[in-house]
Amino acid sequence: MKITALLVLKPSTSGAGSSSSGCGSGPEAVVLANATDVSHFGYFQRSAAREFIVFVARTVAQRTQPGQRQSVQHEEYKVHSHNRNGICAVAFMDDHYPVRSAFSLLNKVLDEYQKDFGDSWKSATADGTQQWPFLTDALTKFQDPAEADKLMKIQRDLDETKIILHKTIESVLARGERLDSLVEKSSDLSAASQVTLSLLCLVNDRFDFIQV
Amino acid sequence: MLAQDLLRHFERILHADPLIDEVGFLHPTQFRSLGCGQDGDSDSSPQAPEFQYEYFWCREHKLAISSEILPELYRAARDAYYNSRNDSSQAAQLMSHTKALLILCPDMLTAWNSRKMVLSEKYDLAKLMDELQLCVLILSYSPKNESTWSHRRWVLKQVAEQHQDMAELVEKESVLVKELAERSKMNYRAWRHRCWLIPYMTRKQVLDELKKSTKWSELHVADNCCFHYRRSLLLALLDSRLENGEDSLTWESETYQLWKDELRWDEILIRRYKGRESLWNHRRFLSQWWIQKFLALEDTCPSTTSQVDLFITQEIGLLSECLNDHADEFEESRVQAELSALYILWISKQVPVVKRKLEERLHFVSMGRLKDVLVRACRPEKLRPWMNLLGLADQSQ
Repeated sequence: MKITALLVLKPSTSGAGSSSSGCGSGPEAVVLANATDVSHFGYFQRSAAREFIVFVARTVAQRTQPGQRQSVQHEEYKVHSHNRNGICAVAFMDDHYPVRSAFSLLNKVLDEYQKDFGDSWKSATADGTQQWPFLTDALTKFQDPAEADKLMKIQRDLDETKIILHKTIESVLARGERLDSLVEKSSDLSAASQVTLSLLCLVNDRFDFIQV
Repeated sequence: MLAQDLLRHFERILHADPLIDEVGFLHPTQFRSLGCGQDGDSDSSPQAPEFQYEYFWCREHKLAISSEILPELYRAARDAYYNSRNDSSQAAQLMSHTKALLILCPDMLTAWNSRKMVLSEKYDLAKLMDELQLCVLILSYSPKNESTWSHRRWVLKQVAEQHQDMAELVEKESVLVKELAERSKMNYRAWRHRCWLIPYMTRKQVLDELKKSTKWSELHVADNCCFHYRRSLLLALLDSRLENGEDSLTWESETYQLWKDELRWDEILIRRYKGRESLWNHRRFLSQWWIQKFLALEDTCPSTTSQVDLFITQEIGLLSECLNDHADEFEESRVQAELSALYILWISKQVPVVKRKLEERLHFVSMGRLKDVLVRACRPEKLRPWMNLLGLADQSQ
């Protein structure tokens, strides 16, 4: 079990989910806070992993409607997102982290964010660059789902909106949208990272191709 | 000609920084984005700067090689190795070529064997330690490579023949496996390596390892490997012989207590993480030994029956809890119910002496017979194979 990243984003309100894709980049979510731990990636994959996390978080958050809770499977990762009244928390976890615990954690993150920053996020237009200590600590503390379980007990009476499960990231996209064109358009991913990512998918942790 | 220069340069980098602990093969695009150059090791750069920046990058003991030269580099390393292989006067050359070759292709067993030949000629601890470092380097990008793990075991064996005290080395190996397991999930080979080390451990070390791997298991309940390691440790405790001055009675009661704690711990995890097969597998192992080894120990004592009864009551209680858990959207409860039913079934098969007791108890709490439990808990498509496999279908007809 592993939490790789926790983020807080503000999905852009001008036509969320951008049905009119095709040309030009649609509205994008703004990253308000980001805590990422890529130490378990290989040294040369870390920067690509970091960029990829921001890219996926933006993509998913932008497509999570207010009040909605979604879980997206992406390879061996699960991306959970919860939009509460226009502010969205996103978590990257491995497959085995209990889903319910993940969402209580997202709830907690949103509570704390609003406690610390109030409504200032509503006017945010650019990515926040400052570290938010709570999020960094949470990333360490909640690696153990038992900690998130404790939250769940306190939050028991909270909303029980059904969680929408997606088997692939493509199924989150609006009709007519394609992941590779989003990847191409994204300013989060450098050319190098795009190559690394496709290589990673192809070769995973084996390097058999050398023997050819 | 160019290829040989590349190889020479590659070997020079490896020689210049023996502490390199990670290697990456990068696509040219990503390679260029690294920014150029080595900052510290300027001694090797004057000779071939053009390769330096174009194809190799080494900083902070991390080495990147551009993937566009890999085929050429590999061929050069292979040819160089074949040419030096039969000349015993060139041992140093041979070691250098095989090192380069194995980093590019760790499954080349012939090359590993050539290294073993050179290393066996004379025992040299420092050289063997370098060998361990080479293995670390390869495992950094190919953590499941069996040839490398196998070579590592060979090296450790050589060291163990000369050294009585392996404690420190074993400790280091444990740390290595833990780090690799963080990066590559379900790495059976890494954990198998750790199991292989158990005979080199003292009883105290075995106990320490058990303690240290607890948290890791809790955080990786889906990974059976660590539970398998714990099972190997527990079995080692059962087998271990008394050392001087140890009291067999305290020892036995210590192991008894350990087993009891492990059972309880496993139960807590089962409740916390629903529907995890590895937890139930662990329980199967624990229960089987618990009944056979510990509860039967008191055969002569009249309270034996009550001990076993107590245990069975407890396990049936767990079963009934799992069966009655309300369903949810994540399927966890259903899987949990199925696993718990199969667990009871397995116990009844594996330890036939308790089968009657199990049935009695099930009847007592009005859950019917084992068959009814299965029907209730298993998916219909899975039911038939289970019934057939376990010979229950025949009995019921």
